[in-house]
Amino acid sequence: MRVAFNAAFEDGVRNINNASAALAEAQRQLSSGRRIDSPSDDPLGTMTAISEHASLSRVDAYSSAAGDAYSRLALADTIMSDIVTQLTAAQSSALSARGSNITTAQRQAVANEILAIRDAIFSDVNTQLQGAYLFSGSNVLAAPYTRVGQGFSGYQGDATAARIDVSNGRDVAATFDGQAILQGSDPQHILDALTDLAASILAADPVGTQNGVDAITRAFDRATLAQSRIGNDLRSLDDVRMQLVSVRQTAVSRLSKVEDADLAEASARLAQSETAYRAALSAVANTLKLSLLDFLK
Amino acid sequence: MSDLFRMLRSAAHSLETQRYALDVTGQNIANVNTQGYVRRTVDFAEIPPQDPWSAGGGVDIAAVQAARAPLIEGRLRYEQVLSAHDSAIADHLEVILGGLGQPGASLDAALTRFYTTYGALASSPTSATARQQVLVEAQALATTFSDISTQLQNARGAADREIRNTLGEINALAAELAELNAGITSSAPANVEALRDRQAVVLSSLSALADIDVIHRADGALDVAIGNGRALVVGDRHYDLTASGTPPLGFATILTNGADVTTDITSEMTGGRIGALLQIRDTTVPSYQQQLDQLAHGIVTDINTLTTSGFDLDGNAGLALFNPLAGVPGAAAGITVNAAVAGNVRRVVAAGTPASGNNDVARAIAALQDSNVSGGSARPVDAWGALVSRIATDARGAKDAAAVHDDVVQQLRTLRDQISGVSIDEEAAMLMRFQRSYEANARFFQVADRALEQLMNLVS
Repeated sequence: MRVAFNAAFEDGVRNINNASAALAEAQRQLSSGRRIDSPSDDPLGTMTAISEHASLSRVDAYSSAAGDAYSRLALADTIMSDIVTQLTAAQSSALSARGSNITTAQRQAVANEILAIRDAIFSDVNTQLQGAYLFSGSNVLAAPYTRVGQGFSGYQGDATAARIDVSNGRDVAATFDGQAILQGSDPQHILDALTDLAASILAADPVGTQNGVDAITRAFDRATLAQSRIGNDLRSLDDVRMQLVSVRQTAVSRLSKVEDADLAEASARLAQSETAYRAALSAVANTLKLSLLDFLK
Repeated sequence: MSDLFRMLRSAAHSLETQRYALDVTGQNIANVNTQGYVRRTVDFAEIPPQDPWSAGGGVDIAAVQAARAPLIEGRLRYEQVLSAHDSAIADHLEVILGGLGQPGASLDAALTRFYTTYGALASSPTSATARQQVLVEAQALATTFSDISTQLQNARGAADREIRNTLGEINALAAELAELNAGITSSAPANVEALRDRQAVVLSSLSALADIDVIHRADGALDVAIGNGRALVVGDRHYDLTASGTPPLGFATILTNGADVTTDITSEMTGGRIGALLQIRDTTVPSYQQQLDQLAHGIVTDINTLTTSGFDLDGNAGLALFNPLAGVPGAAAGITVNAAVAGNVRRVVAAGTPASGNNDVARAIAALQDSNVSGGSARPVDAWGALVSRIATDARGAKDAAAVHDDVVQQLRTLRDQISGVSIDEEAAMLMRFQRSYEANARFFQVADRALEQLMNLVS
């Protein structure tokens, strides 16, 4: 076989280029830590990476929503605890004013206490978070109840409590229906009921007092029910947050498998391709310098 | 005595013959790196005796042969067409891929951020900040779609400019071939081989640019046809290809007037670099654009359907977030945020009822990222991933095919060089051979000269 100088030279240069490209690729992977340089290196891997990046962002968004929801529910839980405490105190005070040996001054004190509890509940139910009322259902820009003269307005929110998604297919309450807690199916809300109760206590009206106590009992039941629902949502959120952490770890691991270079393999390949590169350089340098011309005198 | 003079003439001619062979060897060595140079070999021929008292008239040059390999050259041209075609496609698609950005930092990120802001808006439907953020990300999404669409359009424009440049190259090579044809048919035989070397180089360059048919003439000239047998070079005439801008984009249509009738041969140019460029410009990239437009149209339609079904912060009927698109074509480039919404964050629609704190629409839009896009069969991000993956697969396929053809081209070149290439060792051996022959012939001349001298001394 004839070996033409040009063919040998071009073969040599091509081999050097191939070895050099392999070395550069190993260096790139090792220095950048990225397995894929161009999407055409691994089209399927690129598609997976895009999908996993989106999953990761989705998980982060859910985590953020879950964090928000947790703060919101924790606040609602605190408020509901306070309302329950206030209602318990109101019931206890009202019951203590039912005896026949209660003086007017004592009645006045109990009535004042009932009114103070009413105001505290009014304040609780009108709690705002970031400019939105928590207990107005979806009508978050309107206060659930407002003072009208010496009394209170009717419920100004709506019955549609907003919910927010905290993971795929799971949502929790973001706002609450104040009327369902403070009034339910009663003819009047608890604020008006407490006002009437204070008046009944002052007037030593046992029927009115009893009606007031009954209204407190029903409000208490509704408040504890609402609180237990909030508690359920909070527990569900704990589960969701743990789940999201685990889902995130999985997504990160899947993404890493697709995108990140295997550093051990890359460094082994670097050493291997460096040897191949040296060999190609040496082979070309040694073979091309040999010629019959060296022996012509 | 006349015999001795004949011997002297014969020796002198033989010396000249060996010197010529040395000259040919020198020419081979000098052109060891010349592209297209085909090594020459000298055919010697004995000069027969002219009378019974003569052993012969010495040696003469019968021919100088160029060691051509026409079969391999033909196959090489065929493979070069394929290699150039696939390389051009791979190059252009790599440029497009480079402009699409990395996973997690391109349209996928813009889409995710956009839907995420609606998730945040669902948490705080009355928050002006969350509403502003929706508008910012909606604008970013529109800009990203538009940028990618522009990049695809630019890729078509770049291919078109290259098509025009390639036509110029084809015309220049065709003109050179015609000139070489004229030279080959009219030059002295000694000069023809150099012209044929150049002819092979020009043909090789031409076959990388376009799929051509070559017809060899008996006189060494070549006729070249392009497309469906359209004359490009006939003898010493060449027929230029011209580019004519065609509306609406002004892209070049390829015309020939080879048969004295101007004919559009754009659809006939399928091979080589120009075939690849036409494919990129007219088929491949438009299909990517169509897929991108389909995605953009689906996303905008889905979002607008939801926002127009809802209510803004003031309880007014919801406006479309994006200006409605005329149709799928041009959708990606044409996405714009509705100015009425962009100018007033309260017009951003989050609610499914007139209640300000309702977040039904915001939740539904945030959930769109988990549903198939209208008119498609994948989630928005996956539809984008499918487009990127499709371009990447096309680029990978073209790169792999080009690598295979390159290997074949390399093997064929090696085969050709085994026949046509200059081997320095071989030429060094030839140097020695002709040097020794020259020395021996010189010695013969010397002997004949001395014999003649002795004879002359006898006579005097």
